[in-house]
Amino acid sequence: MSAYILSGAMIPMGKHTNASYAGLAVPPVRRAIRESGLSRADIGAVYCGHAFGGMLTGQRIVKDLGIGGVPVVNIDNACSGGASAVQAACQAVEAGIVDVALVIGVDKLTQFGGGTLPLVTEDWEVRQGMVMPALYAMRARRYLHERDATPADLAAVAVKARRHGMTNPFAQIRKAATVEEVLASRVICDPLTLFQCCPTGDGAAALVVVSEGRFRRLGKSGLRVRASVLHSGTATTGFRDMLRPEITYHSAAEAYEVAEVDPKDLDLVELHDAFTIAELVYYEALGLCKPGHSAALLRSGATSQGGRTVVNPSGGLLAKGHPVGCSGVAQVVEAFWHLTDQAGARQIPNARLALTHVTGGGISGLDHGACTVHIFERAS
Amino acid sequence: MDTHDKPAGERPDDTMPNLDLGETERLVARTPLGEHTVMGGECGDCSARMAPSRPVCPNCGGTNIHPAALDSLGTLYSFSVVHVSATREVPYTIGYVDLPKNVRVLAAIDGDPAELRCDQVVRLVPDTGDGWRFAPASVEEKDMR
Repeated sequence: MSAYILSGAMIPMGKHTNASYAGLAVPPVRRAIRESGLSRADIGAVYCGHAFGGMLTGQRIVKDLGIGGVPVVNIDNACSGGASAVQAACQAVEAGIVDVALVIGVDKLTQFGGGTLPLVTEDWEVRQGMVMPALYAMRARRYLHERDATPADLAAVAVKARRHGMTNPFAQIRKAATVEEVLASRVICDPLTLFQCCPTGDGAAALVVVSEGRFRRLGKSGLRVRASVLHSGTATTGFRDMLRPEITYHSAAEAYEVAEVDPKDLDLVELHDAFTIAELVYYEALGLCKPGHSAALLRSGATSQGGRTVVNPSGGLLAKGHPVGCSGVAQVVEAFWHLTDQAGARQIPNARLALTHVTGGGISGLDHGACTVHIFERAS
Repeated sequence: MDTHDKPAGERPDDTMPNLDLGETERLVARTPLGEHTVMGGECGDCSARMAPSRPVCPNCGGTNIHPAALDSLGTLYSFSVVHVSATREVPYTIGYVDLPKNVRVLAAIDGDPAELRCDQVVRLVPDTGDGWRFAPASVEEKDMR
């Protein structure tokens, strides 16, 4: 029995300094419930993904809506927290434990006043000066070393993200940039410049996930969850190929197998482009092209709006924004809008299959701590 | 000592925390010839090497890890000059250095960043504080290797 996404909602990402976690999340939760056609009383469980919300983030949100007396589970998996909440909800619904689940993804990064994400200083590499942009910068350096690619190829990812973001009213950055402007923006971690890094911001998104039986009875359009995969990374004390992040390779392989979907059948992908290099590496890891062909794929236009498989039509994390625990849920909201013909100006015509992908965390010995891959199909 | 004849509640193994934050680790060793090398650990059960050493082997899960003087020459896998950091003053350069026998360490990298290249040979700089520093090796050292 599959789980179904019945509704989705989000707020525009940005610097919402005067909003609390509840202030951020209550509006999209209200809207997701309203658009589902269900009521508060139907919700059997709440899964709230976040990284920096502190204790009882989910309860702080749903109590304001009078939702209580049900399991509320708070999930931290760094940037993958929101998508991990989606996965937990889908698992509970598929197992028949819950009939209607509410999923929330929320985070407020303006509480840190800008700069790089605060990582856990118990970690050895963090104590040695590791920050998230440095990890991706080392990936980018290695990519430029091994592949037939230039810094302009990295910059082209940001150019595409911003072009897509211009059509998305929920995006934090809606201003175009040229390759030259991207490369001329200030250096964050060499070779990555400011425009190649996702902005700091706040956001919240919500979904209503229901059982197949409930979906059929309601007779609405929505998304069938074809695959919902969560993996952790595998530690090594030695060599790691930074251009072949094993965690995304095995998460994606399992998702395609479960869904019985071929990457070439996907109409859109929302992937984890926290930094430009990530998008190129993940083209290969998600099987959108052969290893070594990612820069050529981007240059071909196949992943741009109007192309064969549109990657990050929302603008991705680079333009839409990346309030970490929110992002995995916001990606599903974007997929929901496209697969139910509600994406407005950026609608991908007749989109049928979508994949979302988000990794989480910077800790030593791993590519990342968590990786979540979902595949959705238009359903009615 | 085999303690498995005791009830689980009286067995001493794995009943105390690993005090992995308490002591400043010894990160650099000196060989009898006076050469400085990276100090790490080697698993007595599976031979996995690691730097820094740790209480449990991530490769086999065992605890039979003894201190091991590793190497002083390695190759620079990748690196970045960090201009924005939540943890320390910028700019600084860090990189992954691959030592022989499959050990990777994150280290500070000395030298002009414009002259650094992926896969170049780097040597441990002896005067380390709370981490390792590497710098590009001399031509003779590269030949030695």
